[in-house]
Amino acid sequence: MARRKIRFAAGIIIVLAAVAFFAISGFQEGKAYYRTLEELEALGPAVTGQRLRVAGIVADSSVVREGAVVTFQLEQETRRLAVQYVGSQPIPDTFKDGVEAVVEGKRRPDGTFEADRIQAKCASKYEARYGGAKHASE
Amino acid sequence: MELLAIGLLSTLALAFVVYPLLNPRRYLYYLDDLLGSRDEIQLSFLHARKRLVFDNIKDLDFEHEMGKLAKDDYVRLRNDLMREAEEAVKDIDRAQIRREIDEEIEGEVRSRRRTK
Amino acid sequence: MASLGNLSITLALTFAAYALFALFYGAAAGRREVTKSGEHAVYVVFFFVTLAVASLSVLLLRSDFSIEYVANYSNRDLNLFYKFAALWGGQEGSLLFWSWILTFYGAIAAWVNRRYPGKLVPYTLGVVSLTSAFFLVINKFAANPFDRLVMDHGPGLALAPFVPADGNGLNPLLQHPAMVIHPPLLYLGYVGFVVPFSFCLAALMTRDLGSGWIKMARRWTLTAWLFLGVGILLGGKWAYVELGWGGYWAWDPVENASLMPWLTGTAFLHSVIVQERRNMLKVWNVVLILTTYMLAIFGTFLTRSGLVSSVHAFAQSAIGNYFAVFLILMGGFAIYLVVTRRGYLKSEKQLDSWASREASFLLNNLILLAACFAVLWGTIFPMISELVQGEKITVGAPYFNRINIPIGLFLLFLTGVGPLLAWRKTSFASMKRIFLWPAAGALVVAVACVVGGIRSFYAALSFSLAALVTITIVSEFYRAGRARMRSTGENFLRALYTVTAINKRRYGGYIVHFGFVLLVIGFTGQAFTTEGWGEVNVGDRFTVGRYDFECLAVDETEDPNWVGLKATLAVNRNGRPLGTMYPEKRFYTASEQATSEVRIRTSLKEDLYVVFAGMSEGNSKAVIQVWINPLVTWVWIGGMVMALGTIVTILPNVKERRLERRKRELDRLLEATEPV
Repeated sequence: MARRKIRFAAGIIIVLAAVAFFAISGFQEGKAYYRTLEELEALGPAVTGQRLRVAGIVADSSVVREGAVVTFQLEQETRRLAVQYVGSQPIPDTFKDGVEAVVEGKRRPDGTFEADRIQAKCASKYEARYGGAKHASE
Repeated sequence: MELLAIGLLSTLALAFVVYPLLNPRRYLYYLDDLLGSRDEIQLSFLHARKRLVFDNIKDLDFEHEMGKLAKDDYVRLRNDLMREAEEAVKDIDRAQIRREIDEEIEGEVRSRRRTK
Repeated sequence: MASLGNLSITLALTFAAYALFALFYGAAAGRREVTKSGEHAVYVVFFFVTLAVASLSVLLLRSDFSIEYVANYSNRDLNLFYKFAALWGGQEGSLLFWSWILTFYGAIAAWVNRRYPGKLVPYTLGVVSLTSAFFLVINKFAANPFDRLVMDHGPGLALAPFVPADGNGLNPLLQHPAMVIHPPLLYLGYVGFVVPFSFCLAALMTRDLGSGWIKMARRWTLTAWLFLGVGILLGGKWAYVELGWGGYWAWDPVENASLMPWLTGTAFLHSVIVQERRNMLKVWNVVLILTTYMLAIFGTFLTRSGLVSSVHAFAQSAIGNYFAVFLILMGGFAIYLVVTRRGYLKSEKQLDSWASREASFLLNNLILLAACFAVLWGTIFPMISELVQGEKITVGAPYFNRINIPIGLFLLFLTGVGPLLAWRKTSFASMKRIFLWPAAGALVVAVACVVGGIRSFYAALSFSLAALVTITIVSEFYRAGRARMRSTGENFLRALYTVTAINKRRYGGYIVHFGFVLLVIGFTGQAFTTEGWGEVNVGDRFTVGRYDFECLAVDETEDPNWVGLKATLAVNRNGRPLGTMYPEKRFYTASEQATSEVRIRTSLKEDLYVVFAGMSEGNSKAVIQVWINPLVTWVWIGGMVMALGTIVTILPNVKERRLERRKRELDRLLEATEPV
């Protein structure tokens, strides 16, 4: 009876161990640290080559497309970051001046950012349009 | 206008919900099922188990006909299931006999009370 | 109209609270008139929520912009169909919609089981009412769709009602029929799991933990699973066709949120078979349905709380707290019940051998739960890492793919092997018989892959397993038909039909498995995707794979709602002309939103996916991006086959219907002889 139990426990442990192995290796390959522009500036060359995710607002009139590569600038208050998007997926439709965008990639030695993934959010248009309007419940 | 409509609908809804509370006797017939006699529950459970084993045997026979089982496997598994079936049927018989005994005794007690 | 809607929500909430009390108290005290009253209250709750939904619909169709929700998600020029669809387009409306579906399901559960004796049904309806009450609280206090707009004109002045001239409108990305059905389908799925969960808690409360609750919950579970699965695939199809990034699944947190309950739901659907046949895995089943319910609600919460960054996410709001509290309380209650009733959850049998059908189901449970946990971990990891380390770390697609590809393939393997194994123990002799042809087929395909130049190990494995499972399924149908034919003398086709008709669960299940095989084949195509792009003026050419493109024109286009650019491309394959494609890029003026009109040339073998990415070099050259996606169509075909198979399993078995008829006759007899 005990031998059978051991055999089953062993089988289950093997399966779970395999899953854990895949999880850990996949994790190492894909993980990215989230940094604000401020943190990125502060950390400087120390994070060159590390996989990072950075968010900012797309600076007005900074978007330039050269073939499949798009360069633009992300800004946060007074800081700016030059980004070059080299990913294979097309720029999302929501991406344009003034929207919040998140880029994922690496910092280059020259301080610019090489992004291979990009996400953009729809601006919260309601606040923009109606200024001081609020809502009231009944 | 809207308030009137809502008021009317709420009243109707309230009436619909309260109605059963005003006629409890209508639901007395369900009383048994909520309080549930234990013997009934036990018996239906045993019948369900018997049906399950019989279904399993039928499935096994069909899988053998399909050619998925080697002869030795089939014989071995069928014997196991037959043993289970025997147990299930015996359990039902035992429970039924006990019930009959209980009823008989209760019958005698009741008739004794009446003659008192 | 808005006050009607608001009052309706309040009334619904009140009656839900009453129902909850009446059902639990009535069942516990054995007073049927009280549970009956509670049952009536369940119908009433549905009625009032319907009234609320109707009011909101009227407000939307009328374009009443004094209501904040209408102003946010609709505009004057919007097509009537999309004005109505705005009902579930925004947070408040979609949560009300959730309540509507839930109370609808509650009413159906009440009606269908109205003559069922015992305490199981009242307790079940009680748990459904408890969940309904929670969502109605949210509808009333945290996300009320009937809130009005007011403008703050400054200190000392009262807040005044404000009616904007026009609304914000619906994001043009969402103006697509698939996008309109996608949320309702998902909700029909998520919400559908509430009922089996309620049956489970009721069974725990009544200590009746045999297969009774499982059988009663079975069709609910299958229906919920069907809707959820179709909803997920539809979302993927929409992303593929509309969003223009070449793929259909991004491991986005909101996508993951819908996948997780599907995974545990799949495990539950399979695991209950073991309980019904062998009275084992009782604890597994309870845990699985509990988890599915929690994940369904958690999924709704994740999508709406703004807790994770996603292209899906709606605005951040305080409702997260409501959900968190509810999940904790409900989870705590469920765990309490399981712990105090654990004596009733003991298995009557044990696992005899790894070479048994029970073992394959157990592995199935394990692996699906592991996948779900891995996806959950990856999805909430950014939040956890921030809490624990102060750094926000995200995990990308590589993590999810690394785990789920092997798991998916192992699942595929189990799909083939499981049904062939015998219950309890399969001897080597039997295994030789049943695995001969499937294994041979798998080997042949494996060799063909290697010879054909497929270098990806997973792809070759995937195709081999697909062959194995297909042969298994075909052999099951064939053998069953032949066996019946031999014993009844019917012709083969008739025998096959009868065998399926009297056991729709099993053979419908095999159809679903075959759909799964096609789905996996479709996924495998991703290993061979080719991509490329061209920067072209009129007259330029470029090549991607075996396809040749020539730019014939780049024109400006317009419409009352948008302006755009359209490229005309002549396409050749291996030198032979295939026709022209017209990818576009549009810019919607009202919402200032750009969209790509992707053009796809579909065939069973591959999809040619062409996107107008934009203009480059000072707006002189058009940039066209191209993907060649092999086998993608099989994903959609596989999904449809799975859906059809599920419908077959939901249909009642032929014999079942006769039994139902007899039961109804008996009920009618009982009614006629009702004592006073």
